[in-house]
Amino acid sequence: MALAFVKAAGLVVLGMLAGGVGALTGIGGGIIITPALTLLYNVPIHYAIGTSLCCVIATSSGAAANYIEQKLSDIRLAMTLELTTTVGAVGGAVVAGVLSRETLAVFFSVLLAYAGATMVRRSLKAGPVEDDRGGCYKVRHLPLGLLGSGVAGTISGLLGVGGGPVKVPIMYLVMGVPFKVASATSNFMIGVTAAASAFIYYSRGEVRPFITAPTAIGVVLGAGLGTRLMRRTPSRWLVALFSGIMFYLAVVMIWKSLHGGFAR
Amino acid sequence: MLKVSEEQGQRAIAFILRYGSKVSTVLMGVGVCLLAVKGLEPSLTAQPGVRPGRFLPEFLRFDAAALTQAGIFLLLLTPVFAVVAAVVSFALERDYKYFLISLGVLTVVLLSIGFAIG
Repeated sequence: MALAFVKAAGLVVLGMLAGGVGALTGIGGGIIITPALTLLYNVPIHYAIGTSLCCVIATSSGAAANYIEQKLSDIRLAMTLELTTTVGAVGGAVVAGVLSRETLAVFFSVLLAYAGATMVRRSLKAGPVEDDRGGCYKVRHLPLGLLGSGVAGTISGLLGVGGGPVKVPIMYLVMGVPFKVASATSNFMIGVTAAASAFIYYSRGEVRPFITAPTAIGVVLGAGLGTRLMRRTPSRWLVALFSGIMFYLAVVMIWKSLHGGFAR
Repeated sequence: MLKVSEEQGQRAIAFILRYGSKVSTVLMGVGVCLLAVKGLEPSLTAQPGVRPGRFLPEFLRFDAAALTQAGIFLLLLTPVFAVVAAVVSFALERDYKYFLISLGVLTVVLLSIGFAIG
C-alpha cells in the first residue's frame, strides 16, 4: 500500500486512541493529538493545532448530543460562560499566528504538566466522585467563572485544545456546579469554543484535509468505543496511565522546543 | 407566535450536534476512501486546490478533495448551527435573557468567521 495511506491509516488509529482516551478520561482528545502529530508525524505545530481543533469539535458534538438528551448539560450556564470563552478563543487564535512554534510548544507543555498534576491529585484522593445527575444547585462566583472561562478560551485558541481541563475545575471547584454537570456542560462548550478559533486556522490554511479527515474519523470511532469501555474500566487506572503519558509528552515537547526540533 | 418547551429546544440542539458530526464524518470518510480507490497519493500536508467557484460542481462530481473539504467545513459549522438553534429556541421559549446571551455568543462566533474570511 502507498506510504501516504499507511500514514493516513496511522492517523485513524491515533484519532481512535485520542478519542477513546479523551472519552474515558473526560478531558477531550486535543491534548493528545497536537503533541502526537508534532512528535510522531513531524507535522508543523500550527497544522497540528488546526487538526486538533477539528477533532475537539468532532468529539464534543457526538458526546454533547447524548449529554443534552440525558439532561446533564446546562445549556444556559454553557451559553453564559461561552460569552467570555469565545472572545478568549478568538484572541488566542489571532495571537497564535504571530507566536513561534517553540513558544507555543512550551505553553502546551505547561498545560500538559498542569493537567497531569490535576489528574494525579484527583486519582490519589480517596473515595469516588459523587454520582450526581444535576438536581438542584446554585451557581456561585459567576464573575470569577466568566474570567476563568475567558482564560480557558484563550488557551484553546492558542493551543488547539478545548479548554476542558480548565473549564471543568472552574465550574466544579469555584462555581459549585456538580461534577457530572460540569463535565457535560464543558463537553458542549468545548465544541463552540473550538469552532470560534478553528475558522481562523482554516482561513490561514492550517487545517490540512489529509491530516484532519483521517484523524477526525478515528476520533469519532474512538470516542464511541471509549464511551462503552468507560463503564467497565476503573477510572483510577486510566487516570494514572494518562497522567503518565501527559508528563512524558510535556517533557519531550519542552526538550524539542529547547533544541529546535520542530518541523518548519 | 409559536412557543416551544425547553425540552423541545434542547432536543433540536442535540439533533443538530449528532447529525452534523455524523454527516461530516461520512463525507470525510468517502473523500479519503475515494483518494485510495483512485490511487492518489497526496502528502499529508498537501492543500488541495478546490476553487470556491468550482466547489459545488466538484462536490457533485464526487471529487475526493471537495468531499473531504465539505466534511471538514460541515464539522466546523456544526457547533455554530447548535448555537443558532439555542438562539431560536430561547426566543421561542420567550426566555429573553438567555436569548440575548446566546445571541452574543453567536455574534462573536460569526465575527470570527467574518475575520477569517476577510
